[in-house]
Amino acid sequence: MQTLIWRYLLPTLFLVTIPFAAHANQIYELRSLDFGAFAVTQPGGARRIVIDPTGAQTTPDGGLVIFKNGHNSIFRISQLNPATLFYITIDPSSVVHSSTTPEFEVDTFTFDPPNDIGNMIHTDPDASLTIRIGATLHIEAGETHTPGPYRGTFTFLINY
Amino acid sequence: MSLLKEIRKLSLLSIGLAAISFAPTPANAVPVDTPAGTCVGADDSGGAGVDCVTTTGHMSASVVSTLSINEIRAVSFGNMATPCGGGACTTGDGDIILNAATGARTQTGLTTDTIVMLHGADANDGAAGNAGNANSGGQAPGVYRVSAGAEGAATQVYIAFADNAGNFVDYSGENFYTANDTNIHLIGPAAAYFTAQDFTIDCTGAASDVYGHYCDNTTLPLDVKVGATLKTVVGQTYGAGKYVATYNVMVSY
Repeated sequence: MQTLIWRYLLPTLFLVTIPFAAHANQIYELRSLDFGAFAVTQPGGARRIVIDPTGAQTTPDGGLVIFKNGHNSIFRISQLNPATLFYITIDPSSVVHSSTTPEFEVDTFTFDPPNDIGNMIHTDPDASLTIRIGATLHIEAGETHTPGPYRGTFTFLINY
Repeated sequence: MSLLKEIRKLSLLSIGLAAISFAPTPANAVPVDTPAGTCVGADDSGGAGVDCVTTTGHMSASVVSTLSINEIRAVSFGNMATPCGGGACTTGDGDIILNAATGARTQTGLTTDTIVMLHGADANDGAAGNAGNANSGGQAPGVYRVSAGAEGAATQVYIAFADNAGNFVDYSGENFYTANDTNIHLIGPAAAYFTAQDFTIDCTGAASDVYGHYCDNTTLPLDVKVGATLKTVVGQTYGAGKYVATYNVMVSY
């Protein structure tokens, strides 16, 4: 009798419980967002550095020299259920900080695949998805930034 | 035997439950209504659990300094009497050589196109009382301040000169770009003009190598003094007045 219980009953109980336990979603930052190394060669005016979700970098206002290109950010989402619909938002107060002021403001986060509350995306059949993120860094008119590294964080939210 | 039947029932029931649990999650599940951009509060859609998750992303930027150079004082060749006796100059060899380090004025000594340098008749040179001092003619070397840009291990900055079109002009004693060396015109009354050429510099650690003429920029700001030579031009007749020009001073690693 004990043999029968071990052979049939217990395995099926595990089969029942394991899938539900797997619904602890996870987000991993695979790569941080970097705006590169640059110098302001025409101070005074407002300048922007744009990193698009594919990693391409542009300076639409000119006035900058890029010494080292930046790159996009990559997040991996996993352990949602397959085909779960969701969308991403970024805390609007995100900035790149430094030990001195002024800081840089960062906004206009963009995503690959694109998504918003009206254009939701879904996880792959393996219950995961890779998200690439770009953003725009602003150099405000009249501000002078001390040479050196600047670091910041942003809050990445998944609503599903 | 009946117990075996019960176990079979349980097993089948469990398998059925397992099959249900493996059925695909309902596709395109209706999103719940956690406010966009927040994960505050619980799911209020009537479902169980939360409907959003957050994590922290990181971002960075690096600001690199650039060299800058600003004019503190313009180059001035000082006062002189009307060159070539007030008539048209014929050879273009009249000159005033302004020393970058001391500000002293000298002349090559050619006498066809004469320039008589004027100075303060009552100036005290510290040696001979009020005998007049040839160096008190109102002249001054240019002073240019190099700031920022102590980047990496760089300890030298190279100074070069160009005309207003960006054409490189030679240092004194060099003849690499002689075609450009008369391009800087000090223009005065009736559009008469002198040329400025043969630039020199004086600064901390001034020296030359294959890359050019440099200063030591270990300590910033760095002041670079600039001298040059003013020359008369064949056919020009100079009236009394002020003669001015602009030119480019360039600094690079």
